Amino acid sequence: MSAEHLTPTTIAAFADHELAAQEIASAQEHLATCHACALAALSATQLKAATTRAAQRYTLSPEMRARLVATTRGRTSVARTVPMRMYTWVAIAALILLTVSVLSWRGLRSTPSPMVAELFDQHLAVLPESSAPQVLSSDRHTVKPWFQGKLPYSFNLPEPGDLPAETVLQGADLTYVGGRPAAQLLFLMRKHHVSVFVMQQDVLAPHSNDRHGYRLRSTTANGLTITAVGDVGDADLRALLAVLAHVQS
Amino acid sequence: MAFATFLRRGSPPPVFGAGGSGSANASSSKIIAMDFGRRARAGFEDLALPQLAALYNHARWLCRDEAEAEDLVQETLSKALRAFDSFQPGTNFKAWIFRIQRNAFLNSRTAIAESRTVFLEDQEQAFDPPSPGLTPEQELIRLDNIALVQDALTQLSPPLREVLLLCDLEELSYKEIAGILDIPTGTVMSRLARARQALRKILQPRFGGSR
Repeated sequence: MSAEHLTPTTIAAFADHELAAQEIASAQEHLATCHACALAALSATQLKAATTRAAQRYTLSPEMRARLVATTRGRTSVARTVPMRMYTWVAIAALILLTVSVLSWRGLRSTPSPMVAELFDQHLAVLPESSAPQVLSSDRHTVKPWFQGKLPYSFNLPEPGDLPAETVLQGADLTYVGGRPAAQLLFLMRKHHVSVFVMQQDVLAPHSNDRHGYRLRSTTANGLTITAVGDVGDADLRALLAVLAHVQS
Repeated sequence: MAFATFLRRGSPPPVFGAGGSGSANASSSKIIAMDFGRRARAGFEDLALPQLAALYNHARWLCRDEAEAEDLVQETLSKALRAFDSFQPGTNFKAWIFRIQRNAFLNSRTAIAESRTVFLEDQEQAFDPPSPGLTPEQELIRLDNIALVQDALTQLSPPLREVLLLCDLEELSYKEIAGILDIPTGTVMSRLARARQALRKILQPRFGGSR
């Protein structure tokens, strides 16, 4: 054990990393065996660490930093005009932000709404061979009554002869669009599947939308929104919609 | 224990024993600075901008006022830029610019107001012995409370607070602090000891303490 206790000065210098290498060695030798000095050194280190943490108190704001950086560029006399400039920059930044947000908002509006995605998804879901319609019939007198009690509204189906050429009704599903019940009529147009969603008119389906080779067209008739989705041509979809809209009146 | 045996840590001393190469470097850098003012300013920015946050924090502790602190840092920067030729490469830039800030501060309103209050400078007076009232655990708990320590720092007299910040936060060596404050290294050490003792005393719990 070292003969003498460490002086307060040595302990402070130890905590402040001011001791030379050989002094550190002899101090550590003593600290290893002397509880009182080890406690004092620990206490000094802890106080120093606490001071460091507490003293780091004030932070530069970005505006102030910008003003100070301008000073290092030799523009020492701009202190009074800088606040004006800052306001200008802030105004420009706000304008850019506003423009960007308006543009992105409009972009959001033009990109497919969740409703469109839902309609496309509902159509894709009935395409697999394995998915049989809930009501499997080409007879409008079977399909229409099936929806009674399932939908809060009624709709008409055209005579098979009135449908566009090579178009047959295969069946129908009760589905949900935007959390509300809707009729999904399944047509086959020249071997292409087409879903027609018959919904209440307050369902805001887009008038027209194309996605991944599938088309979506809508019309309204007698309080109903009728939306057709399929991979057939625009004219075919519109022809089918026209027939369906016609029989509602 | 001889103070002279304490070695400086961190950067090498500003003037080397073998002065030949050191002064050659300094004079050649001076020529470069004169010839390429823009490059010198870029060099100044490289060194000064990383110190902005520290300069401002220290200025706030000195001035106790946001606007005045900003003015002080601004003054410091323009003075340092003008005096950049006198900075010796290889020495601690932080110590150099803190010294400029300290001298700029001495002309400020706050410093002039403070100079009216007498600071019993470093008289070798006997201190109260450390109060045995606080166990290491209790002490640690109080030190963990940053707001409490900040409050204690605010209560310290400005010269004690200043030396403590330069040492504990800015991690400048005793010798660099001595250069900044223009006092002997021994005074730095005794002032530090006094500052820490005062800090501990303030941090003593109001209840059951030595009061």
